[in-house]
Amino acid sequence: MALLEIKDLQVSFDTAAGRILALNGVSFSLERGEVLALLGESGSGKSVTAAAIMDLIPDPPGAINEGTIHFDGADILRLPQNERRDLCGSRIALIFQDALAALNPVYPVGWQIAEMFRIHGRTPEVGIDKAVLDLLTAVGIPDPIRRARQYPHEFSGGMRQRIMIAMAVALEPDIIIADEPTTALDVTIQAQIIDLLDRVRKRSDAGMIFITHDLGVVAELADRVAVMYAGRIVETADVFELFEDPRHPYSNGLLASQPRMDSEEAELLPIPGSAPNPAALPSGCAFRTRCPRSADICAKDVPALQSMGPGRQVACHFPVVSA
Amino acid sequence: MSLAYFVRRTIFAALALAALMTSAFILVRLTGDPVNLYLPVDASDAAREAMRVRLGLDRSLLAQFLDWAGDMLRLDFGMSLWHNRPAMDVVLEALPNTLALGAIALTLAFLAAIVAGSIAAVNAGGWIDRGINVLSQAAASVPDFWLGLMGVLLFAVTFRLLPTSGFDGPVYWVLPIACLFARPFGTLVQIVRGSMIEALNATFVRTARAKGARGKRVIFVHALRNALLPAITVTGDLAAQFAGGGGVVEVVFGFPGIGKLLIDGILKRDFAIVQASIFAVAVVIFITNILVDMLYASIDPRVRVE
Repeated sequence: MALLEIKDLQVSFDTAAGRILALNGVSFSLERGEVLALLGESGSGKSVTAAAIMDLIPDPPGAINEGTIHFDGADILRLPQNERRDLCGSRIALIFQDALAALNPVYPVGWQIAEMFRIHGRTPEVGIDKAVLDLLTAVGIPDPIRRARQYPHEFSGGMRQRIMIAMAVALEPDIIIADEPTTALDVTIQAQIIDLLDRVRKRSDAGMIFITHDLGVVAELADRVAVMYAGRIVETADVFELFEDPRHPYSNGLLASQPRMDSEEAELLPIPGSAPNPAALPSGCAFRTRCPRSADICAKDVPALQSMGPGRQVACHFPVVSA
Repeated sequence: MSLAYFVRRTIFAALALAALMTSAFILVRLTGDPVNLYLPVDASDAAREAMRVRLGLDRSLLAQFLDWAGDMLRLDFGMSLWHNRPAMDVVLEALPNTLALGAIALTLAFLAAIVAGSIAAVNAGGWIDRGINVLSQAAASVPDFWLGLMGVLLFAVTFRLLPTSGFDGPVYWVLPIACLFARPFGTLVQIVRGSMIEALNATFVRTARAKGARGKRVIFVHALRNALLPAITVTGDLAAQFAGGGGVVEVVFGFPGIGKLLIDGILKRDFAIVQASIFAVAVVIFITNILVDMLYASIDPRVRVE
């Protein structure tokens, strides 16, 4: 069994406009040491998926209605609250997009990293203080003794994200979930942070779920990609297969709308229309209103995620088949 | 907090104090002539004139002012007409009572408001939250003289549990403290509730949960310390108000504090007492503000002054 296996996850939020389904049957898996990119537009449910794994869905108004999340063999949605909480940080760690908001402004960064050990009652052989300095060094923070005593506002954006990464890998988790960790950073810093994430991940052979809407980052980092649209996974594929041969019309559209270095075609083809309002999704396939291939059946039946070759699944009645 | 910063603050405070004392000098002299109040109605003009000369009130306002300013610089506040003692001595007897009363009431209000406000925030939208909301709104809006009178009526007159007024042991402190407690408590509950809800929804609280922190740690270590910042600012303002004495409350309960002294001083045209009281209160407010700034800086690293 995979290290992490999510099946038919459904998450809803009660809003003033009624109940909206943020996740509507999400299924994917992650192997040990694998990097899975969760790709999709904002509002597609990427961050909600991360929140569901980390037990961060605010309830109310949110609720996990259906589905299972098996981690290391056990369904964590059915674990007692305390056991579930203990997994967070120690075995599954989360890195947020905006490190300035994600770090507590009133505590020194060294303290916040050390807290990881304290919460889980772990004392490394070298002692907590030394372990914190080692972590800061490992994520490339110069002068760690002085920096450990400083507060988040005294760091640059890139440095803050390094601190978040140091915190996330402190207990050598099995899975790192990175929720758009480079979106708030300058392009030059983005590459450094992605390098760093990959390096620290490999140290403990952790699996990683990398949430992004940036195809460039996906190509650089991911082994496999799960494409999300309107609360569903519409395609999962090996990263090279997806870029070479996207099967779902949405994946196809995403790739056609991006400039590529290796392509002769000069024209970019945007996907028509915009992402649907989650409170009023189209019947059947949510993508059909923007899809060039849609037919009558698309309005009636929601296409199931079906296997199309090894490691590849597509949820479409009329998948693109390349010539 | 560096020495240069402290010196700069002190210079500004001294300038503000000089302006304040000058307006006090002018204003008290507008309240009327003490001679008419202290001598019998049928006193002779000669007697009146003799008292004016003794008090220096016969000279021009400018001459009085220059004389007074010289005394001020030597921190000589003159004799109290009514008490017939150095005014500052009288003030320094009353001041500790007011400070103790205000400090006790405000500390209790601050602590109680943190507890009540946090409970309301954690249960936001529930019936506990609504109950605390009604209670704190009422506490924040009830006038303290009314609360004082009702307290006297209920606990002193009807149940005979507490004295109506006076100053003779701890039991005389209960009603004044209760009256002064209400408004800051109500105000602070609202502040703490709001800032706590904000803190509980902040991303860094999500981080704490994602790190595996349990509920209590999330609330008390991560959210509360951030939520306290606005409450400390407001408490500082309230402390400055209290330094002037719980005026009405001190009068209602005959509590010998600076507020009562000041009001009596005005009614009795006791210029020296009024000026000395104002001076003492201003100094206390200045010190309070510095203490609040230091406290704030110790809790919020972002405002630390280099």
